[in-house]
This record gives sequence, C-alpha cells and structure tokens, in this order.
Amino acid sequence: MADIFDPLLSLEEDYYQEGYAHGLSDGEKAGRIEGRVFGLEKGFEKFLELGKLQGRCSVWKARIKSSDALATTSATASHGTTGNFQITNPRAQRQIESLALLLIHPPFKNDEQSVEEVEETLKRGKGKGKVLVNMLNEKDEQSDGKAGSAVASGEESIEDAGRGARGAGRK
Amino acid sequence: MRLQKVTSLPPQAERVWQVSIHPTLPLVATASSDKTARVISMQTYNSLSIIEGGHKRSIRSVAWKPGLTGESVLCTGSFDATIGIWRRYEHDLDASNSQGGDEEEEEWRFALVLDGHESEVKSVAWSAGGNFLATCSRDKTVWIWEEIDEDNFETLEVMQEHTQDVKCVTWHPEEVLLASSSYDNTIRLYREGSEDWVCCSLLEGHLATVWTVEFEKPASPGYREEWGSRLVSSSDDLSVKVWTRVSRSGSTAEARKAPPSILRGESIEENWIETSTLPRVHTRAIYKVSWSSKSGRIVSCGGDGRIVVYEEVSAPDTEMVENDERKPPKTEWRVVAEIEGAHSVFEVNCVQWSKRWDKDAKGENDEVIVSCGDDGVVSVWELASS
Repeated sequence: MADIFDPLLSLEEDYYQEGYAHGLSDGEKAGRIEGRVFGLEKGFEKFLELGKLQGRCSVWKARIKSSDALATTSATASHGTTGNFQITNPRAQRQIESLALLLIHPPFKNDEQSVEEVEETLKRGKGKGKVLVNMLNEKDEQSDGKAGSAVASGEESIEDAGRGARGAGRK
Repeated sequence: MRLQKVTSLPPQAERVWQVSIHPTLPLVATASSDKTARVISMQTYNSLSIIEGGHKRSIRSVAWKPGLTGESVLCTGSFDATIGIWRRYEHDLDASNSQGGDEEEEEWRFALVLDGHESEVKSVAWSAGGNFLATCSRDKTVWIWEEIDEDNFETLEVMQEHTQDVKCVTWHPEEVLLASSSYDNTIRLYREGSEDWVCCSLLEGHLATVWTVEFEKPASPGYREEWGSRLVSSSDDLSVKVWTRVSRSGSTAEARKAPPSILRGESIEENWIETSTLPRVHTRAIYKVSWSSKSGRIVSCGGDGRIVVYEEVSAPDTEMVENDERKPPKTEWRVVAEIEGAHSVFEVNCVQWSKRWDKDAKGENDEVIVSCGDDGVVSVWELASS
C-alpha cells in the first residue's frame, strides 16, 4: 500500500530533476546550434579575407609577367608604376612572390594548430598586402597622378588655405 | 645632487608631446598638439623655426635623420595617421655662426607625406645610419620604410606582432635591430631576415603598458662590449627596467634547432633578460626614459610631474656562470636627483639628455636635460651639486 504513495514524498525532487533534464538537453541543442553558427560566421569572415588576398595576389602576379618586348618599352617610361599595367619594381615582385607562397593551401581544418596557422597567415598576408599597396600606389583604389611623393595629396584643409601646401618656415 | 632649471621657453598654446635632440647640431625639435613642430636653438634657447601646415592633427613624435651634412631632415609623426618628411638646407653651422635666431634664412620644405597607417602614429625613429625609418601606431602595426631616392620612400615591411597599440619604436645604435613597446605590456625586437623582417625576441616582464624603450649608446660609461647595448624601458607599472642580451643572435647552433617553415623563416631568435629594475620613485605612469651617452645616467619623467635621475652603482664585473652560459650581471641603480612639479601640476611627457651648448657649458662633456609637458612648456635642467 505504501508503495503507491511513495512518489508523493519526493514530488519536488522529481519535478526538479525533470526540469533540469529538459533544460540540459535544450541547452545542449541551442548551444550547439549557436556554436556552429558562430563558427561558420567567423570561418567565413577569415577565409573571405584570405580569398580576397589571394585574388589580389593573382592579379598582381599576372601583372609581373612581361614579355621582353614590353620590358624594353617600359624602360623608357617614367619611374612611377602608376598607370603602368606592369609591375617592374623588383622589390614589389619579390613581395608578390612571397605573398603567393604564403597563401598556398591554407588549412581548412578546425583544430588548434590550423586555426593558429590561419591567423598567422592572415596577419602576415595583410601586412604584405599593405606593403604592396603602398609600393604600387594603390591606396583607396585610386592611383595618384604623381608617383612616390605626394605633396599635394589632399593635405589641404580649410585652416591651411592661406599658407599653401608646402609648409613654410616662418617664425 | 639636485636638478636645477636652466631656463623655460615661453609656453606654447597646447601640450608639447616630445622633444628630439639633433645628433650633431645644437638644435632641438619639439612636437606639439597644436599641429606644429618647432626647432629651437640649444645655444640661445630661442625658437628658430615653426614647421606647420603638413598635418591635420597633433604631431606626436619628431625625429632628426642622422648622418647628414649640409642638410637637415626632420620626420614628424601625427595623430592624423600620416608621417611628414621635412627638409632644410643648412648653411655651415658651426658653434659661432648660429647666433640669434632672428634671422631665418632657410625655410623648412615639406618634402613628402607617408601614409599607410590606419590610426594615430605614436612614434617615429630613424636607424643609426639613417637608411631606415620605423613608425608605429595605435593600429598595432610597426612599419619600416626605406628612402630609395630623394623624396621617395618605400614600405619595406608592415609588422603586426603586438596585440595592442604600439607606443614607441627605437633603433639599436650599431646593429640593424629595432625595438618596439606596446600597450600589451611587451617589448619586441625585430631584425631583417633573409627575406622579411621578423620579430626575433619578445621581452615580457612589465605588468602594464610599456611607454618607452631606448638603447644604451656605446659611448656611455656603463657599456660593456661583450653584452652590447642594453635596453631601458619604462612603464605604466611604475617601474623602469634594464634588459641585456644573453646570447648573441644569429648563432648557427640556434638556427639549426627549429625546423624551417614558410611562416617563421629562419630562426634568428635572441634571448634578452631583465638585469635591473631601477628604484621605484614615480607614483604614476613613467612616460619617457633617456640614457645619457656621456654620463651613463638615466633620466625618467612621468604623469606624476617628476623628473628623476638615476646612476648605476658600479658593481664588480662579476658574471653568473650557469650551465656553461655566461649571464650578464644584474646591476643596481640609485637615485641621484629628483624634482617634483617639473611642469607645475602638469604631466611631463618627455625628457632627453643633450649635450650642453649654451654659454654656461663646462666643456665638451657637459650635458643638460630637456623636458616638455602638458603645460606647453619646454624646460632645460642641469644637474647641480647641492
């Protein structure tokens, strides 16, 4: 007789356990979903950047390839690389080669080491990208009319209107 | 001994961030929030030139290019994320010639702007030979530039090794070695590898932002050939530390250890250890330290308005022999002079030792300390015996 009413004694505990179990399984599920979404987001972001870098790198690489005929004519052109389709600067060429090398086969796995490697690759790749952008005068996706020095590159602000772009040494 | 003020220049409208002493001429350049850089004579302490119009925001850092004759080149680093290169052709300036700053014959020419950084430039530094320029910024990167022609700088390397705002860059006086310090509490050293510049050493030990790093000059009395130039650093954690290199870099034994990798390049690791912590005096962040090449003393300044001078207590040259590897000796330093309220209630942003050029100079080895602060004042101090 007593057996039928025993559960009554542990009612609170039972309901607690039931709620706990439900919460745990719901939480696991939600956590897993959230984790995957987060991972996908971050992975996408990082590899999108890597892809962009690879893309830029291929274009730069293609610009290095020069036939001898073109090479001789470009020798007479001005020393700047703006407006030149070809990249003749040997340093730039070296940087592009090493960037290409760096970006070969980034690991797609999800373990600690691969993630670190991707981060490192991305960091160095971005650094090299910046160096190349500077070398090839490709800032803001517009090439300057003047190669190298950029004295008049928009340093005018309303306050400097009276003084001229070249700073003067007045007392 | 005590610190005695020699003079103060009339205050500028806004804070002065940094002073930079010319390597050979009696000139000092200052960088200010008012977007100008000024050149001041170290003989008369008069303002000689005002360099303006090149930057849209505060100039945070200024540096003279070493190794030039007949011409002066100044580099300015600004909060507007650009770096300016300014030129002036000097007439022959010998000590007797540059009297009275009233005649301004030469003009400073704004030669070039270098951009690339994404946020405020915190520090600029020329290498000892003047061929490389290093700049660092809040964008966590350190850039190295090289001047390949007149007014044509090329970006050699962009290094993002620090994880936070990089506060200072400085070059070794003899080797091609760059040091940078950051808000991430670390100091990093960089060398040129076969292809790229790589970070060859990481110095950890400070507990907060490292504001300044500077190398010891070989002319300094405390310099020891076998250990090379030491590095001094100052930090938000209220300490000033001196670091010494344990093993010379590039030893072939080291290079063979780690497997080669595309990412790492060859291994040219260096090992630096902390050999001194100077006595604690400052009560707030220590913004700048400078190591004298004449007396070997170190001067520091900080947010607490103090300027403090320390001297190395000469210990017998004992080395600790450990595991067949000779370690550099730990040395002690003591305070020789200190002054509070150097710039009244304002923070002192920068101090530098300079050779003394004015009329009270007592010989070739006399030196002064130039300081600047948030009050817009540049002051000159001497160490006088009490």
